[in-house]
Amino acid sequence: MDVFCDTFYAMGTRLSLVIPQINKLYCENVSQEIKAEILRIENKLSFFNPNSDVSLINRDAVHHELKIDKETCSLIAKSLEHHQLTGGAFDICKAALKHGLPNSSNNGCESIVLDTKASTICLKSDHLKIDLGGIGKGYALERAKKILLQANVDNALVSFGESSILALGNQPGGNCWKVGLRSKKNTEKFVHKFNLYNSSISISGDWHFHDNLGVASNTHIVDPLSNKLLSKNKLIAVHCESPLEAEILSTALYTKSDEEITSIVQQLKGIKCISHSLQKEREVLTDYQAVNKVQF
Amino acid sequence: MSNPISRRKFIGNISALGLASTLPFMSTFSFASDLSSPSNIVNVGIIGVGSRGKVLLLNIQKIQGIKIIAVCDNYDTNYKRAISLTRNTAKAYTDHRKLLENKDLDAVIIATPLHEHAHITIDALNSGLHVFCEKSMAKTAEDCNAMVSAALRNNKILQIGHQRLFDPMYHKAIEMIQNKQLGSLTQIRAFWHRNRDWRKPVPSPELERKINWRLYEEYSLGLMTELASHHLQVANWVYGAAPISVAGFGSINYWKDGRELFDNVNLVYKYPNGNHLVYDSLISNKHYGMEVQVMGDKGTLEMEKGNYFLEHPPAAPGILQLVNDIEKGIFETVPIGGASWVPETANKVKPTKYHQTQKGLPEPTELQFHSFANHIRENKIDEENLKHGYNSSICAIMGHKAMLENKVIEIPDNLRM
Repeated sequence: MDVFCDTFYAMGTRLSLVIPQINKLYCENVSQEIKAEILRIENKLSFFNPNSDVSLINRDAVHHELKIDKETCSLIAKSLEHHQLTGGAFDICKAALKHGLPNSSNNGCESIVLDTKASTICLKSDHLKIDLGGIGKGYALERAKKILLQANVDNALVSFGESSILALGNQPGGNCWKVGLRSKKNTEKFVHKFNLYNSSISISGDWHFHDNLGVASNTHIVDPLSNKLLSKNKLIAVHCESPLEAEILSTALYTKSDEEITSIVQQLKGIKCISHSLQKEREVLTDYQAVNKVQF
Repeated sequence: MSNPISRRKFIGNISALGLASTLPFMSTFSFASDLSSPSNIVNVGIIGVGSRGKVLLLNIQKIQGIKIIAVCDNYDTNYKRAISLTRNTAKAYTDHRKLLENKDLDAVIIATPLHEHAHITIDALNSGLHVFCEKSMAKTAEDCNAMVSAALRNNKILQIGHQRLFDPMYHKAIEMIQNKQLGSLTQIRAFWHRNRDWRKPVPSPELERKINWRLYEEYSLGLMTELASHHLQVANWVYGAAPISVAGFGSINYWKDGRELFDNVNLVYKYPNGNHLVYDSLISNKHYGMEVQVMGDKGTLEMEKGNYFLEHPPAAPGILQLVNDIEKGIFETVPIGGASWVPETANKVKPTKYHQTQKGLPEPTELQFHSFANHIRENKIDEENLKHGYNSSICAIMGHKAMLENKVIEIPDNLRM
C-alpha cells in the first residue's frame, strides 16, 4: 500500500506527517500547506522572534493596554482558562522563567488583564513576560487537523517531535493507530500502549529518546510554586480528543502531585492520563483514572 | 584521532585516503615499491621561487622519490632563497631557458607570475620535459590552447596546480553528490573574501610591477586567475561540465591605489543543464571568508568546511517503522518518545561533518606532486587533470572578459575540454 511520509523542522523539533492510501502529489500539497501554517504560527508565537506577537506583548504591553489580534487573544484566553482549571499549574508567565532572563518577574497569570471582546492585553507587573511555548505545538496540531479534514484526509498520523501526536481515523491495517511509551531502561519494551482514533496524545517530562535510542535528559518545565525548573525523572502522557488540550495538560500535570493529578483528571471529561517515572531504579507506571500504580 | 594512517603506510596505500574513487586519474595513484631506487627518482627543476614557489618547493622536499636538482628565478631575492632552501644541492639559474638545457631533468615545476606560464610551459614541453604549472593555467585562451597543444604534441604530462583535486574531503563531497545525497543540484554559491590590499612590500619603485604583478592587467587577471580559478575548478567538478556562458560586474571600489585589476567581482556562470554558479570575491572584507556552497533539493554541502546540511530532518525510527508497517499491511504499535525530540546537534542548522581529516597524512598540495611523479614514472598522460586546469582557466578568463565588456559572454564549444 502506498503511504506518504514527510518530515520537516518546526518549533525546535521535527514534524512527521504520515498519510496512507492517497495520491502522493496531493499529499505533498497538503503537507506544504501544513508546513506553511505551522511556520506562520511559529513566527507569531515565538518567544525569541523579535517580531512575533509574543515579543510585541512582552515589549509593549507592560502596564499598557495593547491591541492584539483575535487568534493570539484566543490562545491567551485558552491559557488563562487552563490556568484556572489546573489550579495555577499551567502558567504562560512562569514558562518564560526557563529562559533565565535577568530581572524576570516571578508573577504569574493573575497579572495578565485580557479583554477578549476588545482584544487587548495588559501585563500588570514589571518585567512580566509570557511564553506560549507550552501551547504552540498543540495549537499547531489543531491547525494541521483542520487542514487535513478540509482536504478530506480521513486517516493520518502527525507526530510533532514524537511527543505530541495527532491521529485521524485509523491505520489501514487496523481500527486505530497504536502508539506505545517506551521503557527508559529497556527501549525494546513498551510500558504502556495507547489506541488513538480521532484523538491526540501529548507527553511532557524529563527525557526524550535519540534516534539511536539513547536517552537524553530534557528538563524544561518550570514549577509555578518555586519558579524553578523541575526535575522529577518522570513523564506525563495525556490522551484526549484535542491536541491543544493534551499539550496544555501534559505540561501542567507534570508539576502536580499524584493526588492533585487524580483530582484534576476526574474533574475533566474524556481525559486519560498516565505517568511513567523512575523511582529508585524501578520504573513505575501510574494510571490516574484507575489510580493504579504498576512497578516493573 | 583514532587509528591514524601512518605516512609510511599511506605511501603504499593511497586508496586508504579515499581518493581513488571519484576521478579517473586517481587510478594511477599507486606507488613504486622502491622510491629510493635511482630509476624511480624523478628529477625536477623549479622555475619561479616566489611565495607560491617556496610553498611548492618545501612540499616537494618532503617527498621520497622526487629530487629538486635545479631552481630558477630572475629576481635576486628569490634566487638566493631558492639556493638557501635547497642547501646548494640544486643548480641555480636566472634564465629558465638555461635550466631547460639541463639533461638530468625529467620535469619542471612552474610557479612564475601568470603571464609567464604559457611560454615557459611550452618551452619546457618542447624540451621534452613534463610540466607541473601552478594555476591559473594562463592569462589568455590562446595561451591555454597553445599549452595543451604543446603537451599533446610532445606527448608529455602537463598538470595544473589545482590541489583540491587531491583533497580527500573534496573527494568525499563529490562522492556524496554523485550518490544523490544532495538530490538534484540547482546552484553553487562560492566566494573568496579577504581584507588586505594584496600588495607586497617593494624595495625600490622600479620593482613595483614585477613584485605586485597580481594587480596589473599586463601580468594577471587578478582575483579571477589568482583565487577564483580554484573554485571554478571545483564547480566544474561538481557539475561534471564546464559553463556555457557568464555575466558579471567588476569594480575597483576600495583599493584605489593605482592598481588596474578589480578588487570586487561578482559573476554568474550558467552550465549546460541550467545550473548556475554564483561567484564573488573581494579584498575589503573577510567576515564570510571563503566557501563553496553546493545546493540540491535534498541537502547542502559547504565544501571548504566539510559541512553537510539536510533539507529535511530524518524521520524518527518509529515513523519509519510505521511507514513500513502500512506498506506491508502490518498493524503494530509505534514507539513514541518522551519529551519532544530535539536534534542531537542541539541546533537544527548545525551541520554534519562528512569528513574527518586523518592526522599525519600529506596535505593536498603535497599529494598533487606524488601524483605528478607517478604519472611520470608510468609515462601516463593525465588528461583529466589537464581538462580541469584548462576549463577553470577558461572560466576565469571569460569571467574577466564579461566584466570588462559589461555583457554576457557565450563560451564557445571549442574552449571547453
